[in-house]
Amino acid sequence: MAGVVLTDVSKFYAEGIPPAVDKVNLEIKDGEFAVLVGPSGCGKSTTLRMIAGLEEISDGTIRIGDRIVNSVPPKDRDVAMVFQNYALYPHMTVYDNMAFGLKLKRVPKNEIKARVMEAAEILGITEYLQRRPRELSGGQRQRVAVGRAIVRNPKVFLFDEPLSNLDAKMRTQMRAEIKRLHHRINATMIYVTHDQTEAMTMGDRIIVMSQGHVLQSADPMTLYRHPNNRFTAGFIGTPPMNFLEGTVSVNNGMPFFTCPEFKLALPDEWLKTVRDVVGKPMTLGIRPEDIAVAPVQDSPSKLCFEGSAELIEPLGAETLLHATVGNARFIARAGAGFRCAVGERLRFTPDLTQAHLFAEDGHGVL
Amino acid sequence: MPIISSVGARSRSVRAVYTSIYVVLILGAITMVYPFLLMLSGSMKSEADSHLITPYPEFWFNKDTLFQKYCESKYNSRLNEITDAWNTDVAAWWRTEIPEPVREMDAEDFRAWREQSPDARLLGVLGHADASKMLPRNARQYRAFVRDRYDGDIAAYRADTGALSPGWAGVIPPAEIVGRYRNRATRPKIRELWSEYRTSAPIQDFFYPTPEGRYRLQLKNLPAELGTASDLPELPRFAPPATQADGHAREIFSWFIREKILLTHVRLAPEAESAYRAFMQAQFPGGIDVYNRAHDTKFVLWEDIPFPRTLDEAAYQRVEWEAFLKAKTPDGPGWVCDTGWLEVYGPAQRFDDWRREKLGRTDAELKDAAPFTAIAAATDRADCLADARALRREFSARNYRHVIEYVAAHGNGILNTVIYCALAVVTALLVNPLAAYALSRFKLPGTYKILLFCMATMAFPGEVSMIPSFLLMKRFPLLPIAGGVGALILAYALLSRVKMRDSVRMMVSLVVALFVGAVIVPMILGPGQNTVSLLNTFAALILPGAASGYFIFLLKGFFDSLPRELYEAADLDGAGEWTKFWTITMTLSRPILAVIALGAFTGAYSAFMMALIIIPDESMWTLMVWIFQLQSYSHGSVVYASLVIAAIPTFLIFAFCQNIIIRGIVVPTEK
Repeated sequence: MAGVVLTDVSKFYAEGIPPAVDKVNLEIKDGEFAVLVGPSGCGKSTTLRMIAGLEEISDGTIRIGDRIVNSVPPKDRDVAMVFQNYALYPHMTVYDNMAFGLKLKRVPKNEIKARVMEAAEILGITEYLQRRPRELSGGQRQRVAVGRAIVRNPKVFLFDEPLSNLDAKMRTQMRAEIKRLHHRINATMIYVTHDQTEAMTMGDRIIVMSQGHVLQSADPMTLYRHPNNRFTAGFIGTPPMNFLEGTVSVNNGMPFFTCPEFKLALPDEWLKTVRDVVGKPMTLGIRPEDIAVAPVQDSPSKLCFEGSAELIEPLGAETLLHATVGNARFIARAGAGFRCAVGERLRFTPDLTQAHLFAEDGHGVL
Repeated sequence: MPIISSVGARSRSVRAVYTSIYVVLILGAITMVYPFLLMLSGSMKSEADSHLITPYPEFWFNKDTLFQKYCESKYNSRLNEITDAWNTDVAAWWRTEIPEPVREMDAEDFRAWREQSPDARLLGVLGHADASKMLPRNARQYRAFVRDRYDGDIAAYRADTGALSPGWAGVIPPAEIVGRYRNRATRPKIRELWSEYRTSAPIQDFFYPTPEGRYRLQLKNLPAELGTASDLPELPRFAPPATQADGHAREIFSWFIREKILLTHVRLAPEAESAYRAFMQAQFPGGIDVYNRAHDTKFVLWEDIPFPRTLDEAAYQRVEWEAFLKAKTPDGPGWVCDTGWLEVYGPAQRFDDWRREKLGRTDAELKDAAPFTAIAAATDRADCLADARALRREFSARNYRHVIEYVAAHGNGILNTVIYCALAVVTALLVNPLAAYALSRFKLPGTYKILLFCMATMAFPGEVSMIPSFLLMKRFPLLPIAGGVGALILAYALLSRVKMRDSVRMMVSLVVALFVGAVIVPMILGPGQNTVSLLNTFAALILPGAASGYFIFLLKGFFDSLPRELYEAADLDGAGEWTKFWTITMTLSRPILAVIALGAFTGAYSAFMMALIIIPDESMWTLMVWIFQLQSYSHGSVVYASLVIAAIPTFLIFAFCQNIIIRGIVVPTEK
């Protein structure tokens, strides 16, 4: 087992186009389950492939354990990778697929057998060992692909969107299995996905990437509660965080957030922070569950604003209410029993202690 | 996705489209099948029916065509033989007219004669034996007979008979009649074998050249001094009297007997004996010993030498006998052998005598008898009809048997072809995938140009490269190439200790290799010493076609389509380049490799021009070269049969492999 350290790692494909990965610094601890998450083209897969040795590193260093592996061929890095399309050898049986790497390393036959059987046991694929990949379902194939990684007993497991090709139910199931596997063998795992749910549920730590940069790297709840930039805030969480555009002002020593349609009193303790950004265009970020919904009342308040319901999505345990205020759209999470008519005027009370304020360049102010 | 959507497939317009597609496909199939049928039926034809362009052999259903083929085969494909035997003009086999039936009695007598009289076999010529362009039944069975006799040992046959034939395919029946003689020119042992075979041949296979037929033919070419003979009657048995009105008849008779008739068809009157003996003694002034030496005889007195009235009786005297017929008296224009002593004594006369003597036929019975030639013709027809089924079978299979025997006789051709094809397939399956793999897996600079070059080779027909290939193989720079390759490996190994970019290392190594191969090795070896001839080796057959631009292009496309992740997974598993090539790429590319193998096989199997050019040595010839040899002297129908037979291996291989090919590209990594 070993940790993985990336120092100023970059990947350039050609002159003139922006680097796919730009000076990425990461430290993944031994035994950690790290998830690289981000939209397509953000460089997460490239980063993973550089760790695996499938892509050359243009700049920087990668360490696995104590060793700099920049020019070490993939087979000598002691990593195993699970691919999105499984990459099983179609002409070999499940057993041979799993044993292939060991055979190449000239591991004794009985040991190969023992290790394959053990991995098959863990993954519950013992009965398929003599089948060929095409005779298996997607989930079974993915188990085999994981099994192929396990038998090699590598220092680092790399997963490149391994669940994307599975249906939703199978994905949930495999997600849990991989997580259990991690607990069981306690190996360093680096997992790439574009699905933030997967990232949230699986990762000990989530590394959010965008346009070749690491934006934030933290445990799931920190990331959810304290995103340090607007991208992360919007990317993590379903439904996503609401963003309202406006400016901050200070009146009588009280901070306010002002939109064309309403004016909200901000918590007093923000005063010190927002004093610097008064008058600048800002974005207020607030999660749907932090907005309380109530019928319109006569007494106006600086702690709430009014809007109209546009769409109601009852999900059973809760109801998502899409609403508008002026030109701005937002989503509020209401209770299971919430009822209202489309177009009805409602009063929304945000819990501003849970809100975030982002500057124009996307950086978090609070 | 289908071209036509299955939704709405029942509408009228879509049905019309389907119908027209099927019609086009069926028409296409017919245009493929019809020529094939022509080829099959053509392979069963011969001169008699090759003008009939039918998709089936006409003789299967038409008795007259069957008869014409029968005549062609029986009369050894020689129109003058049938003219002699039937005493009618036959211009071409397919114009052979169906003979009129004759009296039942005549036909019966003829059959009795040929069964019972020793003359029938003696005078008859064995038909179905002409092996010049085809291999009819008696020619085939004679070969088998000889082969059995020598237990398949051609060397024993050659030693025993003095024949020169290199293989059994060269063992063919000797010509029975040469000029005016029964064939005496053949080696005695072969004659003996042939006459032994003859005695066991069915009597229906014999035909009878008659003096009457020959006479008819010769009258058209009368020497000028004998005038014209347009109104001459049939050939008389004895010389017409000199007093006859037209005057010429006796001279023409005399000329025909002395110059043209088959000598076995002449009988001398007993009165000729003393003149003959006197003539003989004059021929051998050295005495009887000289005679004995010339004829391998042991006579003591001239009187002991028999006087043969016909050549049947003492065939060894044929030279003197013919000279006697032709000799003029020393002092005048007269003949030593008087014209009055000459008698035409051919099959017709002997048959006539025999049926009078043995069957007791009277003048009255024979007054209306059909001529011998007409009886023979009618009997041919009857024989043919009686044996029609067997004949149809024989004619259908004849050419195939011929080709199969021929091919079997050149067994080394088969072996060479098998080795050549196997080597060609193995080479194609190794060289092309390696090149394609390199182009597909390593993004070399100029990959596109290399591919373009590969494609460009397809623009030139193979014939263009034949002469250059031949010259290259004749003077193959084996040592410079070996030196170059060695230098490449050595230079690369040495340079790998120096830190530099891989591509630079390779380029430097290549330059070193070129220099060593092109300059240093030739310099060391000296001019003219640096090449070896690869002619007459399999290497020469295989090397020019080992790499194919088309195959490389095809394979590269296929390799490109294999998922990249497989290779990455293999990289992580620790597979080397060879493992990735062999275990993954080659295994997954089986369908396309089957296509390549099939292409290489058919290419090698059908390569004949190159094989002919590059392999002058007969013992290394491939099947196709042998078949070409067969075709060069055989009838067109044999060519067809040989092509059909030659197509069988390709057909079998295709039938066997089509599963693999049509199964298509199996890369089950898809979702």
